[in-house]
Amino acid sequence: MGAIIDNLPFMLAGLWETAKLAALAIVLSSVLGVLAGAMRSARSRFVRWPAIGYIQLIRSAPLIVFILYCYFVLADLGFDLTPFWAGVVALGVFTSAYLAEIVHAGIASVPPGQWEAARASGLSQASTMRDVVLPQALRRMAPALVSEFIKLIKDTSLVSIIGVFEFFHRVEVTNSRLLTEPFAVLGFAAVCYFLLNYGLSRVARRLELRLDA
Amino acid sequence: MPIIEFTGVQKSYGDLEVLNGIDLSVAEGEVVVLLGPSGSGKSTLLRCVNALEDVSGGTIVVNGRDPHSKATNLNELRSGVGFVFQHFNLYPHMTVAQNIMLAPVRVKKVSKDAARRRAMELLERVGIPEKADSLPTQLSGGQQQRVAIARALAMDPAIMLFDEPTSALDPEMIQEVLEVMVDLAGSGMTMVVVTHEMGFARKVADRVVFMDGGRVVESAAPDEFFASPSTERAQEFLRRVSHI
Ligand SMILES: Nc1ncnc2c1ncn2[C@@H]1O[C@H](COP(=O)(O)OP(=O)(O)OP(=O)(O)O)[C@@H](O)[C@H]1O
Ligand SMILES: [Mg+2]
Repeated sequence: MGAIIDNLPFMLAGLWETAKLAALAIVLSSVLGVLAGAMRSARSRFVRWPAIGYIQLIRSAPLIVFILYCYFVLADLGFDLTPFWAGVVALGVFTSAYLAEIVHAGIASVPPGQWEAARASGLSQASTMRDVVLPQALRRMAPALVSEFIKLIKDTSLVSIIGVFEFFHRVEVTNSRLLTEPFAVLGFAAVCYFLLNYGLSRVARRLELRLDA
Repeated sequence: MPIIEFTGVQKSYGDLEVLNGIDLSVAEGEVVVLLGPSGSGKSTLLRCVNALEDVSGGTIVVNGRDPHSKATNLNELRSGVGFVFQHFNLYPHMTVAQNIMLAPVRVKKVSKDAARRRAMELLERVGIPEKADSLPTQLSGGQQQRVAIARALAMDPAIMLFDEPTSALDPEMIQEVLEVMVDLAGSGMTMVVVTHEMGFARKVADRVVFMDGGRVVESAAPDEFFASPSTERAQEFLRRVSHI
C-alpha cells in the first residue's frame, strides 16, 4: 500500500494523460463515425461506397498495427504528429469504423414512415437525415455506442507502444521498479480503469435521460 | 386547367401491374374520395402525386409541374402538397409544436417565432392548442392524426392528400378527425382522400372515384355513385362495405 502511495503522483499524472487522450479520441471518433454511418446509409452509391471502403479497411486491421501505422506512416507522409496526437488519431479513426456500423444499423431501424413524412413535407435528404432520422437512430443506439467508448478507454493502454506516457505505461514502469507488488499495482490500475469507465457510463446515462425528456 | 392530372399512368413492381393506365384529373378546390378494394392501387396512386413512388409510364402534372421529371425541384413541389398518413408518422423525438415547425423553418426558412405562432394557430384550428409542448406519445390516436394534419397545413399546401387517415383509429376518435377534414374541405382546399368512411364520402366529396385492379373503373358524383353504381365491381364493393 505504501508503495502505491509513494508512486501515486507519478501514476496519476498518467491517468490525466489517458483521460485527455480518451476524451479527444471519443470526440474524433464520434464525428467521423456519425459521418461515415450516415454516408454508409445513403441511397447514392457514390456516397455509400467510400464509406463502406473506409469501414472495411479499418476494421480489418488489428488496433496495435493500426496505432503503429498511424504513427510511422503519417510521419512519412509529412504529418509530424507527437505520439500523443498520433494516439488520438489512431484511436479516434479506429473506433469510428465500429461506431459507423452501429449508426448505420440505427438509421436502418428508423421506420420508413419517418423518411416519408419528412420527404413528403419538402425536407431535403440531408435535413431529413439530420433533423429526423439521426436523432432517433442515435437514441436507439446509445447503449451500443457507449460500449464502444468504453472499449476505446481500455484501448488507450495500447498507445504506450508508440511512447505515449499514459496511465498504463506509468503503471508498468512502477510495477517493474517495485517488482514485489504486482497485485497491488495492477489492482490499482484496474480500479482506475473501472472508475474512468463508470464515470463515462454515468455521463452517458445522464445524456440519455436528457434526450428522452 | 386541373391542379392534378394523371394521363395513362402505369406503375409496376416487377411483373405486378399496380397502376394500369390511370387517367384522372382533379380541379382546384375539388374534394375527391378514392374508393376501391384492398390492393386496387389507391395508396400507390396517391403516393405517385408527390413522387413518394416513381412511375413506370404515363405522365402526371401537379400544380403545373411534373413530379417525376428530373428538371422539377421536387422538394419545392412536395412542400406544396400535404400528405397525411394512416399511421400519422409524427416525429417521436419532437414536441407537437416542433413537429409542425420543422418544415416551415427548414424548407421555407421561416423564423422560429413566426413558425411557432403559425403552429399555435393551426393547433387551435384542429382543436388541441393545449398539446403544443407534449410529445406525440402522450397523445391519443385522434389527437396525433390532428397534429399530422396541422403539420401538413403548416406549409400552406395547395393540395392535401389523405391515405386512410382514420383507419388506424379507435372508433370513438374517428369523428374528431373527420370533423377537421370536413372543415378543411369547406375552406376550399383541394383534397384527394382514400377512405372507407362512406359517410364522409357522401357528405363531403364532390366526386367519388372507384378503382379496381389498378384502373379507374368509375368516377361520379357521390349521390349518383352510391344510389346506382354503373359497374358490377362497384356494386359488389358497396354491398360488401355496407355489411361491415
Ligand atoms: N413496395 C412494393 N413492392 C411490391 N408490391 C407492392 C409494393 N407496394 C405495394 N405493392 C402492391 O401493389 C398493390 C397495390 O397496393 P396499394 O397499397 O396501392 O393498394 P391499396 O388500394 O392502397 O390497398 P389497401 O386498401 O390495402 O391500402 C398491392 O397488390 C400491393 O401488394
Ligand atoms: Mg392503401
